Amino acid sequence: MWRRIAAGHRLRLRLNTLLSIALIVSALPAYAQEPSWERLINSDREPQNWMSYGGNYAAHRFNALDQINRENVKQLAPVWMFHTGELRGGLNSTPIVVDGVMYLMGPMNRVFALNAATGEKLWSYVYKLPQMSIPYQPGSRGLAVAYGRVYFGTLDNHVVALDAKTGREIWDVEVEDVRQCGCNITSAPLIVKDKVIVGGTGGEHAHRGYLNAYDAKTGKHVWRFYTIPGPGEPGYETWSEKMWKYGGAPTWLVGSYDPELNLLYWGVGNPSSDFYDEFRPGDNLYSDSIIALDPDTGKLKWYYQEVPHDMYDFDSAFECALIDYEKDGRKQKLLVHANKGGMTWALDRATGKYVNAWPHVDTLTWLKGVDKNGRPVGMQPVPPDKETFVCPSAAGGRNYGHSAYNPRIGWWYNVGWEICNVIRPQKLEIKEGQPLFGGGMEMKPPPDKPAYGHINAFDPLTGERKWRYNTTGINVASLLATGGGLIFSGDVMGDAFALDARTGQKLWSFNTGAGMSGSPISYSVNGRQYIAIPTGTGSLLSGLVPLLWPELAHKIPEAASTLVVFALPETSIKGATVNGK
Amino acid sequence: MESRSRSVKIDARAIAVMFLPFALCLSSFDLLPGSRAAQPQSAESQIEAGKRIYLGSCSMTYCHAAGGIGGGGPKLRDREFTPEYLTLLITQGVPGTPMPAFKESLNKQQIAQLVAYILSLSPKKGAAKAKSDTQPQSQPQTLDPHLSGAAPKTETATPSAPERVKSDVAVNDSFDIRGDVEAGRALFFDSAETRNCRVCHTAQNRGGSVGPDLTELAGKPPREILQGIVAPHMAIEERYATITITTRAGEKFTGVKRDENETTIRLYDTSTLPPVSRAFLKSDVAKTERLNTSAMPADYASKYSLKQLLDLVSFLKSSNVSLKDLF
Repeated sequence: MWRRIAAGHRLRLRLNTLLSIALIVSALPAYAQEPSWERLINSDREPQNWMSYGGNYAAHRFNALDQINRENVKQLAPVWMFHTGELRGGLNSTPIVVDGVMYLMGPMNRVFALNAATGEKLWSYVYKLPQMSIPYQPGSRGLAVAYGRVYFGTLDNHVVALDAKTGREIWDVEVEDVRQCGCNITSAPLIVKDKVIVGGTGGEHAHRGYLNAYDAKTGKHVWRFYTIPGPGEPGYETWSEKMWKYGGAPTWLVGSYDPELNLLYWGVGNPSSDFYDEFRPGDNLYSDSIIALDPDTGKLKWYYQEVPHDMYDFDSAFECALIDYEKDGRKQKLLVHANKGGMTWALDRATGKYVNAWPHVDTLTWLKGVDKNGRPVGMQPVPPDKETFVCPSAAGGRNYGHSAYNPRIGWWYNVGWEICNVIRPQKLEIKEGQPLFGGGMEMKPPPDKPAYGHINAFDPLTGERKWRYNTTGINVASLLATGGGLIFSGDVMGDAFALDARTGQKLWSFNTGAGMSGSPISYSVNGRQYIAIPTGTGSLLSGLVPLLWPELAHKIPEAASTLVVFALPETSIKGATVNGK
Repeated sequence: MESRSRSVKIDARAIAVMFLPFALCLSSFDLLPGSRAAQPQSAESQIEAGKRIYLGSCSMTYCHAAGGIGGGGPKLRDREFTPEYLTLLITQGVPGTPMPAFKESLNKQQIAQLVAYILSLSPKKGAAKAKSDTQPQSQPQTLDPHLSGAAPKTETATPSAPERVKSDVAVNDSFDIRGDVEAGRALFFDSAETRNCRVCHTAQNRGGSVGPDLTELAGKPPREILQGIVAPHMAIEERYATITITTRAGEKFTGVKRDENETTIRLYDTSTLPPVSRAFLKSDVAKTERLNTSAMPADYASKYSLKQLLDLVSFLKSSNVSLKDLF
């Protein structure tokens, strides 16, 4: 009898346990959904999707689909378009596609879910922005999707999670009052395991830069890494007591992650004040650096500073391309990183040790070279109260328009801008959260020649240039590499185009009617490959074009904020397969 | 005989650490041209001073570029601006765009200089008005009622009678500690501290809206402000009452109600700081209860030194408060 009672008790316990589990599961229906971490980290196996900002966690911006290829790309035609309805901020983002649904971050905190084959709107969510001036720009570069949720940062410095199926708000947490820090979020978060990792702006304000991690399920703040060390921390000695709290060093773009090494890589922006440096003697760590963190704790594993004591506004905030390089039987795990100063560094991504550095633009005045550790030598001084001519300009030898890497060819594709500037440093009162440029700059063409821009294919280790394509004005938009042997992008005058990845020859173009400063992607639905290109130059960088190319000024397209999606005609792909899927 | 000792309701540990180094106190730089005491200026010197301000604050190519030729922002030369319009825009910024409000970084004289310089960029259209008498209106009109810059009015709690507490610290007249407004400001907004005041409260138009706006505390007695920090449960405003939401799935969340509509209720979950706003479908909510506790942590008396508490009170009073002011 005791046994029966005990058995009955056990049964009740099991039922209670099952009930509890059922309750927990029912409480977390959205969180348990797709895409899982396993899928995200192996996204190269799913070229039908574009599941993270960089296309994969190595920031390759490569899609293996080859239905659209060098032979048939001329037939590419628009199949649907989507207007975000908000012109302020254009469309700078990277769309995300998961299992036939596209998630699109528009300007002014607008989020959409669309049928990726038709453009039909499934839901929309508009985060209400308080009455405020917006630091930096009203556009956004994207969002992240994981575990049945959509994660994004806002222009007033919040991180928000939505239900991916309905667009319903789940949680919302403020990073810091935008009025206090002069910083906000204009880029996509990066999901690493159970965390949402978010960078922020602030390099042109009196602000102490940081990177934050939140629990993806609850929104709870998990860790913060300050990009400027505080008192007692290594690197604090590279700042003055006056400036360490206001030295900028923002994390305004998106990092990469290596699952084998469990290292999170993030590029850090410039120190503020940008040009006036009297208050910040020293190297100013970790401004203009790559930092490698343990994503579980936010602890620093290594750093590599590209521009010590920056006086030129040369952020190192851009993407970290993780490239497994193999030549003559020797394998190297590289981190390849283009700096705003027109130099590209190749590092050993396990240790942060310098491997190589090479220029990706033609005209550099700010350094004479690098030493055996890759540290710049012969850096050009920018004395206060004088004018200094510096190449490249503070807008960069390129800006955030991302590079692409084709692992099948082994080449890395990157944009270059040949623009210089005159820097005029000036003392400025330091007030937390207020702008702190420390002077101004005036754009100029390089000495003895007009300004120009280009797209290049490089060997990612040696920097050997394989080809160059000269762009119209500067190319602000990111590059996309595909398994069809193509490089896609779009120019500021409205032409979406495709280049041959092996020769740089232009094979296709289409006038979308709007300049481009976003990031194209590729994906497929039901066996049909699509190329999606954001149009509408919300970036402040587009303002450079009429200054340097006055002959283009009257032709610059009007404001837009539209996603244009291309595919081959259905008749030409009937019966064809989408390889790589 | 009247005792010279006074009571202070402060944790003894606060006293123990009161001589620790103070929070970073910002020094005032006074570097910007025109930031010194106002003096009459000629039109030329007004424009020249404005030009220097423009260089440091406006001439980035992302903004209006050198000489106002326009960059990421609109061009400013060869335009038809009135000084009043420019003053208004520079002072208050343009919400929804990257144009900031310079009222917090430039004084009126500096803004007038900047206006004079910008007008001088349009010699045929605006320069005639760019004279030294182009002073901004003392109260610029607003483009939009939301631009007035006035702190939103918040109902303040009806103060309960301060509770006299038995003395655990004796302070005589020859001993005093003085708070510091700037140190208090640094503490209030310290971004390195996730439990700082600003994650929940607003002061001087900055900070969170989870708890009451503290801007209007300036008129309260220092003792009452201190009590609100170290014993928040003693006066809870109904709007900020602590509630618990129990979902039908059995999960419990505690915090302060943010807002609600027909379908959804939002709660600032204060179980962790910074607070997380959580949205619940009303159909998923089984029970909502009001608690008699404050959502504010109750341990600030031990977390902060006495000096730091005085710094905070000083910041909220906008004047340096001394220990003696608490009695």
